[in-house]
Amino acid sequence: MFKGMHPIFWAGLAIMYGLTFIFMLWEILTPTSTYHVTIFGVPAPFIYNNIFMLYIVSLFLGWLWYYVPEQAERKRREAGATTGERERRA
Amino acid sequence: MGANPIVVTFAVLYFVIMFGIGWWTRKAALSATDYMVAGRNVGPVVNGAALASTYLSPASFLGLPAFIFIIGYPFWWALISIILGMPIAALLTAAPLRKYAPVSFTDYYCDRYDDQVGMRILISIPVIVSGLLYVTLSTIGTALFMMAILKIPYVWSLIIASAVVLFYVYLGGMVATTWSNAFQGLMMAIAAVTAALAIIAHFGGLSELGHAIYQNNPKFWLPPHSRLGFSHPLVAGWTGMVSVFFVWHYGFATMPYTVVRFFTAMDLNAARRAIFWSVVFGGAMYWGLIIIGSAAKVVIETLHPLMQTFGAKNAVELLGGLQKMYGTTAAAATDYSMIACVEALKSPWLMGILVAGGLSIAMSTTAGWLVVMNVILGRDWMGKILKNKWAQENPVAVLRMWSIIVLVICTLFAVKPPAMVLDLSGWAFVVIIATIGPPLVLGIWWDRATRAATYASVIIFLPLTLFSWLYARQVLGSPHWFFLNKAFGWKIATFHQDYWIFVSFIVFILISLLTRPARPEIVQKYSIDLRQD
Repeated sequence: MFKGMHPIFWAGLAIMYGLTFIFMLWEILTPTSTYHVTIFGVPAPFIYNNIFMLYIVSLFLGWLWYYVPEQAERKRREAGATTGERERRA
Repeated sequence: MGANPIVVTFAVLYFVIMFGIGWWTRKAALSATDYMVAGRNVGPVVNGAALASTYLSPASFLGLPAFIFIIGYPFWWALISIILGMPIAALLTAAPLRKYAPVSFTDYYCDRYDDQVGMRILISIPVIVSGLLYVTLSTIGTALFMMAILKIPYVWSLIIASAVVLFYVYLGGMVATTWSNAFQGLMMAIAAVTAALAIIAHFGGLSELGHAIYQNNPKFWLPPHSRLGFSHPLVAGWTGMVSVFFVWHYGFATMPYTVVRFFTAMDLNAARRAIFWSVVFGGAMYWGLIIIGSAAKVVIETLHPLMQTFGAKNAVELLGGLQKMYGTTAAAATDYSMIACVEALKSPWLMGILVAGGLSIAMSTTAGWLVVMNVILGRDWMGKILKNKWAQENPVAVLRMWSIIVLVICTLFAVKPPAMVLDLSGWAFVVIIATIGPPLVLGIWWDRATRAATYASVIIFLPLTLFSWLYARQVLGSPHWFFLNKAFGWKIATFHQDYWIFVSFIVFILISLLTRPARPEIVQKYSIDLRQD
C-alpha cells in the first residue's frame, strides 16, 4: 500500500499531525485556559493557531509537496539525459 | 432599512463581471473537451483560486463563523484542519488523476475496477445525492446574501442567483466556471480579510479584540477538559475537538467538485502547484472568518443598530429577530451572525465588499457542482449508460440541458427547504468521503483494491452514515453526538458522525483482501503507472 509515494509525503504528514497533536494536547492540559497564555502580548491561539498552523504550516506543506517532487523529476530527467549521452558515445 | 447605493454598486459590478465572463468564454467552450475540462489548459494560479472558491461553500462563509459564534474557540480547529487538509491532495490524488486525465468523475472508478456500466451507476448515486443537496444549499446561500445585504425578497434573490449562475455555466461550461471561480476566489479572500482587519482596527489590535471577546463571554476561550468549564457541551471532551478537526479534513482530496478541477490543469506540476495557490486564497479567507466568527457576539451586542429596536438582550435574540424580519426559514438564525457582525460596523464600503465576497463563494460552489452533475447526468448516464444517440451526437447540448434541469430542481427546493435538507449538508460531505473516498485513494495507491470492496463501500456506508446521522439528530438532539451514546450511556461528541470515514477505509481494505483482485494489466495501467511522475 502506498508503494511509490514520495517519502516527503510522510514527512509532511508527520509535521502536520505532530504539530496538531502537540498544540491540542497543550490546550487540553493547560489548566487555566488558552486566553491567559499570550505570545507577543496577544492570546496565544491568535499566533500559533490562526497564523502558524492555518497559514504558515499549510503553505509550507503546499510548497513542499510540489517543490520536492518537481526537483526529483528534474534530477531524474538530467540523469536520464546523461546516461543517454554516455550510451550514444559508447 | 434599505440597501446603501454603494453596496448595490458593488453587487451590480460583481454581476456585470460574471455576465462578462460567461459571454467572453462562450466561444472558448464549443468542443465537448473544452466544455467539460476547459481544454486541460488551466494554469496553477487561476486553478488554485478556482479550487479554493469551489471547495469553500456558503457553509464556510456563513456556517463556520456561526459555529465559532456558538461553540467558541475549540471550533477554530475545524477551520485550521480544512486548510491543512488541502495540500494532502497534491500527492495523494491531484497528480495521479491529472496523469490519468479523465473527463468525468466516474471515469477512474470504471477503468480501475474494470466495470463500465455498473460502476458508473454506483459511483454516481452518492455524487448526485450530495450534489443536489450542495447546489440547493449554495443557491440558498447566494439568496441569503442578496436578501440580508441588498434587501431583495428571498424568492427574487433565489431567481436572480440561479439565473446568473446558469447564464455563465450554460454558455461557457468548465471554461466559464474556471475563470468565474478564480475571480470569486480572489473576491472571497479580499472580503473576509478586509472585514477581519476592520474588526481588529475597531478594537485597536488583536490583544484588545481577544480581551473584548473574553469580557463578553469568558467561556469562549476554554478548551476541552478545562477546570473552568467548557465553551459548549459538544467540546467538553477531547473527542469533540478531535472530531471537529477531521470532519472536513480529507474532503479536498476526494470531493468530486475539487477532483474534477485537477483534470483541468495543464500538467502534473500545474496540478500540484494549483493546490499551493488554493491554500494562499483559502487560507487568507479562513484567517478572516476566524476573526469574524470570534468577534461576532461582542460586535453585535455592542454595535448593531437593531439591538435597541428589537429590544434584544443578546446577539442570539437579535439574530432571531433578523430571521423573523427576513421571513424565511432557509437558514438558522445564527447563520446571520457573520453578516450581522460586519453590518454592525456600519460601513457601506465594507458591506459592498462583503456582498461581492459572499455572492462569490456561494455561486462558485453552485457552478462547481453543476459542472460535475451535468457531466455525470448528460455524458455518463445518457451517453454511456443509456446510450442515447442524441446525447452522444450533441455532447455540449446535453450538458447544457442538465445544467438547466438540475438548477431548476434545486431552486424549487430552495424556495421553502425543509429544515432537514439544510442539516443534511453535513451528512452529504461525510457520505461522499466514506463511500467513494476509499476506492479512489486506495485504487491509486494499493494494487489489491477490488471492485467488490467498492460496491460494498457504497452499499454499506450510504445507508449507514444516513441512519447514524438521522438517529443522532432525532434521538440525541444533534447529529454531532455519537449515535450510540444512548445505548451505552456515553456522552461522546463526534461531529457529523465523521468516524465513518476511518471505518470505511478499514472495511474497504478488509473486503479487498477477501475478494478477487483486478487483472494485472488493469492494476499496472490505472494504479502503478499513475503513481510515477
